[in-house]
Amino acid sequence: MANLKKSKLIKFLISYKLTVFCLLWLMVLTFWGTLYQVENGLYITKERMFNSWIFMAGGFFPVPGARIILWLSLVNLTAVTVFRFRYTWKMSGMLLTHVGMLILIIGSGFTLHLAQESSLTLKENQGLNVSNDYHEWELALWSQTQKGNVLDKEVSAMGIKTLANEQELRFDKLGYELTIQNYFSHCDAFTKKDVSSADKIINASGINTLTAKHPQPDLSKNIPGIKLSIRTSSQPDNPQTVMLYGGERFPTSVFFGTKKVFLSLRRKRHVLPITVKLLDFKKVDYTGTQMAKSFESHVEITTPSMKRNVRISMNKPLRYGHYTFYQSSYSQSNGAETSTLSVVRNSGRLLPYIASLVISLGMLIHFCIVMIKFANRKRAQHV
Amino acid sequence: MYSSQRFMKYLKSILVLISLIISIACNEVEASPITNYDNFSKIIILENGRKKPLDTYARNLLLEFSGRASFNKKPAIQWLAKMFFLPEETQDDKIFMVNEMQVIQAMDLNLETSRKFSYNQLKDGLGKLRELSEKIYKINEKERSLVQKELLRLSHSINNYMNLASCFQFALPYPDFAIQDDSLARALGVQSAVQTQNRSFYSVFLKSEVLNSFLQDINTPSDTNLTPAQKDAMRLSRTLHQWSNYYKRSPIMILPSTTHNQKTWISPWEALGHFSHSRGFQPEMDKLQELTSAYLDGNQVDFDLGCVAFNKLVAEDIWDGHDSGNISLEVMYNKYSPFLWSKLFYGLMLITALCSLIFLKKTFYRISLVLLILALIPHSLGMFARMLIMGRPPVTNLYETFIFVGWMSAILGIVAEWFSRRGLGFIIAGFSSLAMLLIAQKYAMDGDTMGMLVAVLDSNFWLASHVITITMGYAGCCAAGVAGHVYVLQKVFNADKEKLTDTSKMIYGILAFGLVFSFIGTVLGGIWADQSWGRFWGWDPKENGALLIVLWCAALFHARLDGMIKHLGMAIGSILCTVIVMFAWFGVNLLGVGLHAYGFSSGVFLKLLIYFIAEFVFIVFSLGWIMQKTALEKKVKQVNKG
Repeated sequence: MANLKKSKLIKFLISYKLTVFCLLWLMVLTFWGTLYQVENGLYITKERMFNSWIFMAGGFFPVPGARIILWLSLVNLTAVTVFRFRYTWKMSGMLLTHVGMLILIIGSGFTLHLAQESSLTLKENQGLNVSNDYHEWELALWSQTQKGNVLDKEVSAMGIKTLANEQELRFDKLGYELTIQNYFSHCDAFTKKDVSSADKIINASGINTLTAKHPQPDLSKNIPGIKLSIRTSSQPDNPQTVMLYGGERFPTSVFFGTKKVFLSLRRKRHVLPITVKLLDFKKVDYTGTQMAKSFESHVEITTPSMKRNVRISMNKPLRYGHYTFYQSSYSQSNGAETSTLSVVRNSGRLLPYIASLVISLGMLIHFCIVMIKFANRKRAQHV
Repeated sequence: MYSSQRFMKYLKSILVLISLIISIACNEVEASPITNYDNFSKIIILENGRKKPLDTYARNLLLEFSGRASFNKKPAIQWLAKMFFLPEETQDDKIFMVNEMQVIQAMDLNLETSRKFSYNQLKDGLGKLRELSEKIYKINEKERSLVQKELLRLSHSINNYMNLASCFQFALPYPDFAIQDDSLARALGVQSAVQTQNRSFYSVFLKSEVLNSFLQDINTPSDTNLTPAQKDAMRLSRTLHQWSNYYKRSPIMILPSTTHNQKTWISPWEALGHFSHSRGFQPEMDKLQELTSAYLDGNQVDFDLGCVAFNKLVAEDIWDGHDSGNISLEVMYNKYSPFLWSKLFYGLMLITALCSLIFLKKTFYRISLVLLILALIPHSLGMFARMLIMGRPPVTNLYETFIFVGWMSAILGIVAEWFSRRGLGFIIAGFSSLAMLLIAQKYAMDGDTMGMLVAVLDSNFWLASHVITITMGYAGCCAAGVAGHVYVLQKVFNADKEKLTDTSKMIYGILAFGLVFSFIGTVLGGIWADQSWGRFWGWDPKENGALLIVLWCAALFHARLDGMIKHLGMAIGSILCTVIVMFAWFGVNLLGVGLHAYGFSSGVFLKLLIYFIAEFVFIVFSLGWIMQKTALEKKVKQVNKG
């Protein structure tokens, strides 16, 4: 241990200089990021400066991002806790503070890699057990059969993040093969009268033209479009051309003889462990104004074991397992109310709480120790 | 010769003084015989969702118009009463503040350069003003120039003024409502002796049914065989109708009402509109008529009785007769302006504390202590009164952060003084508290400082925990900054070593306090964000601001441990810490992005910039001075050795 302490690497890793550098550089990034988001928005700033290892300032100068700094801090903190600290009562406050910092950084890593954010928009009396992703889209195919009163759907979906032109997609379970003719990550859709296309384009909303737009850096603002040909695996030489656009309300259906298949380009869906049904949405204003005093969604949740009623409002979210449901926004039109809940799944949710508690406790203990020491010295001087 | 000239000079100045006294005395005589507005102040008005006394409303209104909460050194409420009951007499009052003379030129007016104008001065330019503001409304808010903004503000103020001038018109006597026909007068129960006197809209309006009975037999309005009584009734009825239509949107919501099971507040003119189906508001309206007449007659007793009776009726409606006392408390809070007293005492204390450093040390030291306590009493009481009135923790908006940080700095100053007893704590307390209260005063210009909170802030628990701790952190950093300045100045002016170490220790302690509370505040903010927005940390500008403070303090302490910086470095670091606090506190609000953008501030950018530059200049010059001096001392030592 003593030898290890003398090694140059350890000396560097436990040095105050490294700590000060990390703190100052994180400051620079934070300040820069604050100004940067005025022009570029929060999402891009986060991706560029805080979630990145390294980024190019001015397009050519490599600068370390917050991720690398946080890793450095993690190593620095670990090394300091192991090698530098003297484990005495006097240092107990400082030790706690630093251990808490370790937990905090680990917790931020958890959140970065494991947290999943999505949204759930419900009309009154509507229930859902899937939420929509903010950024990612998927291509969904399904067939449905009517069995008495029950509509039986068999759905297959594929993420389109890495889609390329001429790519072949196979939906084996349903027995369809797709060839991507054009894929636009962000586009506009039109219905043009004089489209001289050799084959007929099928689309539920009458769209026959897609024009590419420059993709937005904020992924949640992109609306993708696809032109593809679809054929059944059993009859590969009878393809049909389909156009899909992210902004459509209804799916497009294609017939192969008597077989009918639905296609839709939609925001990626996440299956939730519970079904949430909106019973009532309430917005209370301050008397005589349009200014909201509170928003509240009365929902009924169906868990595997039971149904129960829950009220979700500002500052009072619903927690269920790793999931948390927040009141996020609402709309009121023609008497119909819609409430949007944001859904966050984060298995490391408690880490920042634990870390905060540990650090705050550590700081208070240390502050008290120092104050007592100072007061004692003062008294000794007086005597 | 010389002495006679001097005598003439004296005589002149004495004459000027006498004429001044006479003019002031005459003014007193001219003023309305109503002198006490205490009960009138307590009339409750609903504005922006808050029930507040008319007194607060009057202050904010005048503040918005003229940039001052009083008019001609008289309370705002007195002016508001004149505005309600004698609207014509306010038309020459110079109450409209115009910060840009270009606004006056744009209105095609040819007026002398001034800061304040009266309605009569501006009225010829109103057409042009309306035309211009319609155009400005179409421009995106962020792209409006200063002159455009000022034009809009003036247009809004004048509209507001004109609307307010109409809100008591129903109770004011006008020749339009004098009764000309004898038989009609008898039917209306008016004695013939006072028949031709001017009457108010309301007095005739109450007799609408009698008027209608005269009009029943008329077939067409152009009937030529009308009796004089019918003609008069028709004239009155028409005027009533025209007035009701014209004034129905008049402002001031002072009457609580329930429509469709929802509580709302309505204006007197709206209440008159409800008379057609129910006379539920008649008791209140009668009282308003009574107090108006009493004001016009100059009858103080009746005026007070009218106000008290009206307030009682309203209180019965909203609190079942149990006034919570908040309205009276707010009137009292306005009247005694506690923070003004605090400012005065902090200012005096700062002077005596500085004196105590130079001469009569003990005496001035004791005076400072007394003054500090005298300043803290109204400061604490004011904050406490606000908490009671709003039913909230002490900090809910930007204005209150300054009040609270000022208070906290004073407490920190006392604690620091407890330890060091060199007067430094007084300087910290005096300087930061005074500065904070002065900044708060600027923010009070934006209007009501007790506004309602947006939904996400409506949580007393988080307001009490996160907001208080983070502002305590700000206070610690600011106080450390003041101590930092003191250290640098001591260094420049060659203070002895003992004093320097003492100051340095103080910086260390206060900055540590700042770090601990900034950190806990930031973390509590993270937890609140996790509760309401679904993430602990989101790199939002306000969060970043708080993080910057924490990182900077942490960097300072680590650098100090390693010897990278020493006492002087720590002092300069704490000055820079204040700069960062200012950025986090209201600099980020200027960016206009993020979830915390509710603490909007305008016109602060330039002042903030000046502050930043001033601090940098201070640091560069004093550091340069100190470094040069140390170099010189070294040289002298070397020469001596040599």
